[in-house]
Amino acid sequence: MTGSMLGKSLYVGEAIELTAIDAEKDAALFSQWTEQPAFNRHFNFGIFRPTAEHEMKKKLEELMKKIDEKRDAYFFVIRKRDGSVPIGLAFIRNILHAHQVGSIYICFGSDADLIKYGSEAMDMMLRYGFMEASLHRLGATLAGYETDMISLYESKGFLREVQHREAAYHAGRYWDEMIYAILKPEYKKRIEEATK
Amino acid sequence: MTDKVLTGKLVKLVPINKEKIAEQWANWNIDSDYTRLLDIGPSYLYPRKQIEKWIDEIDDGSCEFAIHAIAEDKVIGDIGIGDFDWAAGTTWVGIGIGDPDFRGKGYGTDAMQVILRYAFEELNLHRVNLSVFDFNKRAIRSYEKCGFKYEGVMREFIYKEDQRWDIWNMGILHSEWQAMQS
Repeated sequence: MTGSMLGKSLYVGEAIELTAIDAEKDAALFSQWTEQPAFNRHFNFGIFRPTAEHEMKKKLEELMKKIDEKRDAYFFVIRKRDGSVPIGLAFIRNILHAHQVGSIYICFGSDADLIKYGSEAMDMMLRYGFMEASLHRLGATLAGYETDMISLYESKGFLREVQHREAAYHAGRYWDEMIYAILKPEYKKRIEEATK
Repeated sequence: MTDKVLTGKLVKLVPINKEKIAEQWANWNIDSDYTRLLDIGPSYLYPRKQIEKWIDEIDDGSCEFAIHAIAEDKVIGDIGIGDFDWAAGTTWVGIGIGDPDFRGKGYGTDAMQVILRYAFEELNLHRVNLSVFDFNKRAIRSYEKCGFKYEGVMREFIYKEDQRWDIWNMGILHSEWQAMQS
């Protein structure tokens, strides 16, 4: 064997870190984030409706319980390195172990944080998904109006595989919904090229 | 016409009768080619009790039907729509013709046409999605006949027989379906 698994944390990055969810402490802030339709799409699901703090706490507890039973997801809270309040959520869910596939999403409380920290958060989650969780394929469904998020996925080498025509509705009109995905060989090639 | 919403040329969509269909499903599952075309999970011979439990747990929010062949007076498969997005008016459809004698003869296509009419004319949906494994050519032909358009492919999503397979995504809009009726 060559190389080492040790010495480079999966969770501590340059500017941010991935931390465990704390339903009790984090619910209030997550509840505020549900005011954004995009956060709702990827985390809250269903009809867009902001979620109250007590509902969010319950939702988080149920989510953690379900994940513990099904072992089909990994959820992290993104925090700045200085240990301050959460700035976002990063997760791989809908994992089908038999096929080594999953969905990967990053949601931030503010668009500014997405621009500032999205790239590092995605790098860390891709490493986690491919090199720790040993998945083969990571995908995401994004709505046409999520332009900054689409740019982030495209910048990380995700390919647009599917375009569901008029599958999302927001701000008084239909939008296409896109499935993006990256495969492990593609990811490894990018990493090799970046370190050359 | 109004009372024939769920009736097509060859089939009628009827509620799922738990006792009857659980036994049929258990029998259909023995055909591993069938289950491999139907579902992404590892094919498995689920005990009948387990199948009955699933039927009990079918979400109220989804619309699952048994496909009843009219002339032969026989349940031959099942079809359902669910995972609704009521804001965008979208849903996902899934279908299986479990009885091998009724495959490739237009029964599935007829059932799909009935459920599309139900989705668009009764539930007022805007589009219907489906996904199909790339090795299921017969289903793809049937979906194209019903008006579904190819919208892309999820690469290497399935790992079976020690190799990777793609999943096609298809969709049809209400307006496209309407244009086909005239």
